[in-house]
Amino acid sequence: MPIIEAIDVKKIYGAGEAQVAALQGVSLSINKGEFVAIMGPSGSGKSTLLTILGGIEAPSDGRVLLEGVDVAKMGDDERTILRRRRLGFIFQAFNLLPNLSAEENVRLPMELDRRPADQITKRCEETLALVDMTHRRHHLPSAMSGGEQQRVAIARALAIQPAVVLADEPTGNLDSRQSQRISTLLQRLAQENDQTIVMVTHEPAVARVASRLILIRDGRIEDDGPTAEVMSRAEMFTMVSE
Amino acid sequence: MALGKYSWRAVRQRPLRVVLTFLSIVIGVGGVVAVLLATATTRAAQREMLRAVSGKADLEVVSDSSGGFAYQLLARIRQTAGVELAAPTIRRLGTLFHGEKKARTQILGIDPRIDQEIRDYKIVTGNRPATLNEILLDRSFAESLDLSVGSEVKLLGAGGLLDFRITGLVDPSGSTSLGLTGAAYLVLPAAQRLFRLGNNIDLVLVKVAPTEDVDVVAQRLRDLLQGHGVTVRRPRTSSDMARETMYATENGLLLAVAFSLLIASFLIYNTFQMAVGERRKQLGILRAVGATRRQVAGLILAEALVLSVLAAVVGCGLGYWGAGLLNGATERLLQVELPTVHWTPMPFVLGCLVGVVVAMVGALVPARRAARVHPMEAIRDIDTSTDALLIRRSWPAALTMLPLGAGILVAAVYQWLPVGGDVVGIVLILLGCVLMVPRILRRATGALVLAMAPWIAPEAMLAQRQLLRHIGRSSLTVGVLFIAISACTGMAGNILDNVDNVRTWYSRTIIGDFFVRASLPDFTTGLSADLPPELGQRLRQIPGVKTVAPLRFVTAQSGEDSLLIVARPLIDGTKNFFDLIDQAPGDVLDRLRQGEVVVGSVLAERRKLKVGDTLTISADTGKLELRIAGIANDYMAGGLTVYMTTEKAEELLGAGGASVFVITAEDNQRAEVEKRLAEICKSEGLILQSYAELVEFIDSVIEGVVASLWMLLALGCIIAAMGLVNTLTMNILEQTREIGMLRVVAMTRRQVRTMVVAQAMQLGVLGLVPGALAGVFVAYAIGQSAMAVLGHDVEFRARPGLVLGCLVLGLFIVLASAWLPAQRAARLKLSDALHYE
Repeated sequence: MPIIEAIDVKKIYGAGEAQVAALQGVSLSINKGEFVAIMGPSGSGKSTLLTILGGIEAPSDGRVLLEGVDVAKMGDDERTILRRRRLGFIFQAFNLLPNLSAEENVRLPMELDRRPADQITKRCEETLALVDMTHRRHHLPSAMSGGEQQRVAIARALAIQPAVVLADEPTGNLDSRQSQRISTLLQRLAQENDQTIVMVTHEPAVARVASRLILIRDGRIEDDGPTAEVMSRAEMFTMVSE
Repeated sequence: MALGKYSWRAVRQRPLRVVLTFLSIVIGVGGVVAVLLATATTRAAQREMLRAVSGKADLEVVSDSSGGFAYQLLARIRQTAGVELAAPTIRRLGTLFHGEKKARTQILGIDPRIDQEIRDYKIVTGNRPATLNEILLDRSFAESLDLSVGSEVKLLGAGGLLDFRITGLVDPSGSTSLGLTGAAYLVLPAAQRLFRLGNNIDLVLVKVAPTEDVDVVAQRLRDLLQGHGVTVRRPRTSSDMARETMYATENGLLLAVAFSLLIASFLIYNTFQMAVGERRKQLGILRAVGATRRQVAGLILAEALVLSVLAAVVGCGLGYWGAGLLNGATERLLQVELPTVHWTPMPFVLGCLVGVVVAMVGALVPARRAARVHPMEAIRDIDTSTDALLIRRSWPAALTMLPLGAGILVAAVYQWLPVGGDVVGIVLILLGCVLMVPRILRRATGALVLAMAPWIAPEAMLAQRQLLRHIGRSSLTVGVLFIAISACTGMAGNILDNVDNVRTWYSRTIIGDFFVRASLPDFTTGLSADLPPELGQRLRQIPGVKTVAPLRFVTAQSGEDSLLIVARPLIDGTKNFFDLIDQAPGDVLDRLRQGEVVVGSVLAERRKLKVGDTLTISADTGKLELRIAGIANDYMAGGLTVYMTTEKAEELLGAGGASVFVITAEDNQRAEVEKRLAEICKSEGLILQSYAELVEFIDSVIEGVVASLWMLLALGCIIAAMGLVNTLTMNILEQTREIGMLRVVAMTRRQVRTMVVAQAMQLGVLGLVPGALAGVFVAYAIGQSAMAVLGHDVEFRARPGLVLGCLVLGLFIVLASAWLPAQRAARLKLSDALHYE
């Protein structure tokens, strides 16, 4: 059974002449353990698709099933609990709480979920170690580099042991060296932990670490398949370079 | 031009932020204007009231002897530079007869052409007297004797029994109603004839030209009239009573003004700090693209100027409206009829000044800071360096202000400073406390997080972190709450202490079930007309009457002070007649019986008298030396009172008879006694008042005070609540992106609400709990500083109920204030919030 399924998802912003169709009937299915990259030019609808898959936004039409459950039919609290327990988010701007240390940022979702303290501590230590940030656990985000902040954000996303990690341009704010390090980390997580990852990116070098690549243009899926195959298609490079 | 466009876009982009900033100035300026207008009105009304009670006179020239002084001196007084008006007066007691009825009354010989310019009354029916046999009569007094215009009456004075016809009835205006009740007004020659005074008069009331200094004119008159057997002085009522009655209100008004200025400044400064601080990143970008520091600062200042001027204008309107509300409250507080709001430009000028200047400072400080840092630094981070600076600077300032305020307060208590010194001391101490907040905020909120942890640990922790993220802003909000509740509980506590003081006084000194008098007493002197000598015997014969105590009021002089001497018998069985200060009643009564006296605390304080000292007074019988047995808290005659036994008064002053009969009745026969007393009083033209009526009157005054107290509390609460709503909403605005992120990764709406409420609770508890305790201190300190005027401190009572009530109310307001921002935070649209800049 697919872990995420999008069925004819449409998303329209605005009304009248200002109406913009961000997604025009997207259907896809992602299985457990897949590392999927979504690529496309600016304004193609890739970030919108990610927020809809994550239950942050509701589709204008169509359905999104997460582990078989229709997200659109859930109430706000149910969606929050779903995100809290089954989805991990990684943002381009890291979105760490600036007044919490690395460790506190990682602990926060579990504390809000009222998990037992010993379990929280254990998961926190494991994930910080996984992203190699144990030595910076007591530092505030302002004292870390962009790459370090993103590693903490990844630890936060993984700490809850999510079914799916949704990453929106996780390397967008990083230099090439840090970008490489983060993408390698995500690849390792997917391979070693059988973690499902859906990542939006516009960088081919980052997309290459994914096992599957979905190309999106003007709100529609243009190509979908193993990364190497999709990348090998010459058209794709043209599209990406736009 | 480009920057102007940027400003306008910034306003349009964040309308809520602009509205909140605008509102904070409106509230601040409105609060200041309302309080200043109300205090200006109250001061003007009190001055008017006191002028009215004393006949609007600034000075009076009184005779040193009972025979009066020559009328010819009047011309010389009138010619003295600075004298605007001089009105001759004869003021004596006489008896009025009408058929079988008779009544002792105050008789005033006046010059009807000018008298109303210096004495405040209104002729309600008929005309003023013009001939030797015409009189004006107090309307209520006339009604009690079934008299009207045209009625024929007789007046008995030292010159015999003379016939008069009533030409008019008067109503004393406003507050003079108590001072002039029961008076009969004659033309001056008629009064001279009635009391066989020849061409003498008793006193001249002098109105000084507004441009002249009263003390300078007084000295001129003293020089001029030296050796003529007269004393030139400020009217007793406008000096002693003014000082006495104005004290409590003046101090309260000063405190209210100080607190309103403080709270308004905190509120406006805090909001601008937030509004401009939030734009630090944008200002950094402006700097990065080429704006100079001066341009950035100019941009922010121009925005602040436009916003604050507009808001100040609206605030003035709000303040004027609010002043009307406050005015009503003050009317009840002071039991005076106030005019409508007294228009003076000063409150508006000061209010606008506070609004604009504080807004400019509040905007400039973060703008300068943003302009100084490197543009990229401003773009990247929030400003944390200022908090460290704030902590470093506020701590020494607190350590300076606390002892300085304490020193000033002590100086005020020991009377080394004028009235108002205590307010300065209290404000400095409270400010010192507020300045300590930045340093202790981390630990204090940490303790609160621990307390909240069993229920809402992560939310409480997040709330604390947000507060600590902006230590300056959080401290100022705590400061607003602290000042508001300390002002409320402090003023409330002090007012209730004063109320208790009055209650203690009347419960100890007014001992009797009924009071019979000829006319209502002069409020300022307690004087009333003499009662018929045989009346006491008749009263004693009424079945059910237990005791009848005649009280005799006599005036005397001590230096420049007019004193009221109260002669009373010490009835066996009654253990206390006075509200004694630090003395055992038994001992004092023994010494009274031996011929010593009890003096009012104001007199003791003014003359620096202690128990055992001797007070020298001038009475009609000459100079007298009185040994002091005790000092009592007294509200009669402004506390310038001397109490002695009836026997001693007869011996020293030759003062027999009674001004008032105080009657006690058997418990089960009070109704019958009252009925009989009413019959006698009606037939004799006397006034009967029961203890219950008296208590009812005093209690109605107290109820008015308490009602007004709640009004003041409400005002403090409203301002504090608005400040809190503003601060929290600003906080939420600033946290939009973080709240969005929290909602995405883990937080339910309920948890977001809880986090915002936890922020409010932490601010509330930190501001309110110490503030309520500081309020107790404020009440105590004001009570202590009353010594300077009252001659005793107003007894302080711990009021846990009041403190707890204020605290609960305050916390409720905090929670209610948090609701809107919490709702706003919980309903943020996630996708928008995540991209909020």
